[in-house]
Amino acid sequence: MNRIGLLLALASAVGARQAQPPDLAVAGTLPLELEGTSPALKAVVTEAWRAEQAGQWEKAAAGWRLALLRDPALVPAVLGLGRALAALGDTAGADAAWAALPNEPDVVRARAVLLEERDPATALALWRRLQTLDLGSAEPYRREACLLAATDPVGAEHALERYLDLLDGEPDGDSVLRVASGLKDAGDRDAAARLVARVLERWPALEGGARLQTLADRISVENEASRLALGGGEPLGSGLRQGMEEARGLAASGHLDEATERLRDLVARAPRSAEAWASLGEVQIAAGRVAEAERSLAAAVLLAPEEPTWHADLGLLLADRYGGRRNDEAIRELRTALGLRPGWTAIQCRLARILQHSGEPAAAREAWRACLDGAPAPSDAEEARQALADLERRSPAPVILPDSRPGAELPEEARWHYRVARVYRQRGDAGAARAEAEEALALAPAYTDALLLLAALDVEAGRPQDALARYRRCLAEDPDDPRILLAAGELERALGHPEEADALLRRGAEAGASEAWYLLAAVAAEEGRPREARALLDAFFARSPGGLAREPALALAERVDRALWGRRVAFAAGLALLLVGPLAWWLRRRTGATLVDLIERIPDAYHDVAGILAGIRHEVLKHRTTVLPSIAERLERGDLTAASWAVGALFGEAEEPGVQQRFDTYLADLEAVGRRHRVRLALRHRDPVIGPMHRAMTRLGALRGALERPDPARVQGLARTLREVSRVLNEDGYAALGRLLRRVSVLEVDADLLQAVGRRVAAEPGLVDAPAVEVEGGEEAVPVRVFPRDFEEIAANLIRNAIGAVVEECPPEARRVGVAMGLEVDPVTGHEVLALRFRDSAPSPLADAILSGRGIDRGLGLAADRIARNRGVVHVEPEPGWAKAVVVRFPRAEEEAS
Amino acid sequence: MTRDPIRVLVVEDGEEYTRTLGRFLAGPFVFTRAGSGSEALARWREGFEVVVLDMRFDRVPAEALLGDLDAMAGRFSGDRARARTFLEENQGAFVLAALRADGCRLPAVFSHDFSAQPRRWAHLERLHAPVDFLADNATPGQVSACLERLAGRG
Repeated sequence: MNRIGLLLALASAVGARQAQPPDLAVAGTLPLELEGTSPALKAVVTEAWRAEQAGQWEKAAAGWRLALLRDPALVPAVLGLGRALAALGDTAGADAAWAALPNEPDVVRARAVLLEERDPATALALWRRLQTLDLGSAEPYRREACLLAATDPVGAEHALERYLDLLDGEPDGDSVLRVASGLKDAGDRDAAARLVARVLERWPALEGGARLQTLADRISVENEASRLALGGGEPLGSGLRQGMEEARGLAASGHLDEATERLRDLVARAPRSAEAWASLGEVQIAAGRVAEAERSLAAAVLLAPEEPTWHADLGLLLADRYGGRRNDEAIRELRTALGLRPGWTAIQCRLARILQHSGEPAAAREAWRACLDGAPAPSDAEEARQALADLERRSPAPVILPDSRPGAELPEEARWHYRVARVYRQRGDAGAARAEAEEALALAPAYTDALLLLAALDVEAGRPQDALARYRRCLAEDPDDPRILLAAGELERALGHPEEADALLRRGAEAGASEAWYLLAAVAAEEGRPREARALLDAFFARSPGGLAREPALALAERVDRALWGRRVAFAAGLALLLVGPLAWWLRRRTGATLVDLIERIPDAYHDVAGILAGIRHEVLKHRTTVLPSIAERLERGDLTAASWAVGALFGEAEEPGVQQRFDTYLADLEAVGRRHRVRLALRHRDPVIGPMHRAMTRLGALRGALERPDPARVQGLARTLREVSRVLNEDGYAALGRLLRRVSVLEVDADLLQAVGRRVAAEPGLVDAPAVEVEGGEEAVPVRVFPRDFEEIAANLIRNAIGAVVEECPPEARRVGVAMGLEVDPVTGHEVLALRFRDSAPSPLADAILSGRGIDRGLGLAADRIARNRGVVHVEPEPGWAKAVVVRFPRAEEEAS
Repeated sequence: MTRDPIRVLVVEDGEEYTRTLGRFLAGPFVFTRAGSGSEALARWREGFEVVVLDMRFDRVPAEALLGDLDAMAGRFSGDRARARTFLEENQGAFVLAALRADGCRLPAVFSHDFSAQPRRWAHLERLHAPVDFLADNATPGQVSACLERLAGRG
């Protein structure tokens, strides 16, 4: 191709070649120029191309063959021959012709199109080859995606992603639809939905977007339907029901945490009980655990979609606890509840209220009427009537006042200009208003209303001094007009003239402008005169029954009263502070929890605490302070350079923090862990491990100056101090941190423990005909760092699950459940791992994906959560002699046990 | 007669060991730093007598860690973050395993305190001998004695 250097311009010659399959248009290129070829070859090519244009396919094929005889690698001829043969129905011939040039992008593309239907596997290989031959081209990826859509939707999605990445313009909506449909049909609705959402977000006006949206809607419906498929809740047995009632009783008496814990256990044991989920949700609402409550109520609704109560609970939670953001969902749930129980007036009223707040007056009106049609509570009925009155109230007609009689001193024309000026102002045309008012004033220079209007326009125009001058002109006419005194006083105050403002406002107040009392009170309060402010406010309240100033005046009165009360107690409080402050400071330092207190009270905090303590040992002690004895030794030998080197190593260089800063950061991290669990830690002054280290760090920090400028006469003392600090940090502190890390209980797992759990589970009332749990291994206890309660939950749930499966699937003689216990050694790190193999004979398959999918059925989700929380892992593995094993692994806690 | 210094290959993600040991043990020792397992594999044949290994490598990018992250993620139920943490926290052992697999029989010393983990240490000795360890709070003097013993100069 390069040899002949042909330039191919794409020609839309498809229409002229009616016999040609339209999709072969990619090969329909028109050779315009054949540089470097012989005139004879050019003539043959031109003849063949003209025959093709005329639809003379046999002649065209002959011409292209002739051209190939002269140059077998002539790409336009290869393409032309294939086109002609394809048009003549000789697909095999076309394929053979194009197969002759396997590395020419145009030829490979034409062949791939030709074979897509007849030989999709070869076509797929060709499109993939083209991805290399024509780097950067998006189309081959699109074709690959379409070919794979039905058989390998994941591969198709990858190819489509590449296509979308490489694309310049809009993507082909049909191709996206095919791939998304393939994903959906293969069961991966989430991936399909994500793909469609991504494409529609990036190309919202995509051609074919409507069909993509339809698919997205369908996926949404199917997702919801699949959740509904969990429905068909099961009633609680009598024992479990009693447990639920006890838990509800605990919640009613205020023991919300214990009630929540019991109900969580209950739903783990009876995950298909809608009642259990709903009870848990109600208690979680009471405990303020909104997200957990929503999840529980949603489970109850899924399990019992015909029960109105839980729809209503869920709807009210969505309305009350999301600040109006999820009102749509709340309305849907409440309407569902009302559909199931039409006469539920209380819910009808709540629905009406939510609709009204959501800006849906028509729907709200209908809901309020329905509420009144029922038997609402008196307060609801009153609210409904008031709401309906508000919603149905008509706007009043505008007020029309009779014209006042013209005053003798004001010419009618001046009054007319003033009226026109007011209308202009109402319409926002300040310029016209000003012109008309000036006209009025020219006719009647003492026209107060016109002056006031102009003053207001001046204020709006940012010319307060002009406005003030106009007010003064007004006051010259009528010195006791309360409106003008008030307006002028406010303006003086805004201009920062407190004395003038005060004088004007007092005159206004005396003249009857009650608001002036309030303004005077505000000034007095601002200037720290609360007694005077209170007196002025009293005057205001005595004269003002309502008005716009009343609310702010009430708020000001509250502030002033607080200030007055504050003054009264300030002296006493100050005295008390003087006396008690040092004691409180001392107490605060010496109260609060230690790390041991925190871990004992909140076992869940252990992992965070342990990680931070390990960081102190590694980053602070191991990497930094262990050099202290060596520095001391050098100093004792008279090597003062060691001191200056130590400054960089201990107190940081450039951007790197020093040892004390690192230590303080770790302490701040520990305190943050405490705050997360609502425990105030007193590490620096009370903790027996951290306190001495903190003091040693402070002592070390104080040595900085001595290390930066070592005094030869004092280096022996400096070295001694460094050794003392080293002892506290590197020996005592290091050992104390180790002891603390070991302090938390380590569970010893052995056969007895597993058998005890197995017996307890097998005796549960819901498990009839349960086989005995066969325990293998475990003669020697293995220490693991798992909280005992978590371990029991993990083991109990897995055993319960296994028993349930064998009872359900196996005849009595074939029911076997067991636990094998053994140690495994990591061949690289030497870590020992306790492996617990929970095995059963039930033939139904179980996969890792189900465990990681947090399936709530059979308690697997709970077990998986507990295992992860304790740094364990879980897998499903084949088990010789059994159907399968769920294998749980925890690291052996050797360090802690030793 | 002065002895040749002992050449020590220090494999660590930071520079703390090389810097501190170089400062306090200079003279009888020459310390050369390798910042990753792959660098250690490329250099261990350069005439070193001892290899010092940091255990935790949490300051290098994931691709610089030895060990199969994908396989490790499978072991941790698909949790790649935990898998990476495991590789980081035990990288010294992965480096030594790779050195042994590459034919390196040099004595190695972990800068990691195994004194409270006798069982794990027994496994590591069996897996990667000749190997020793330094306590976290070992002083330069103790380190010096250990390195000389391992190099056969003690």
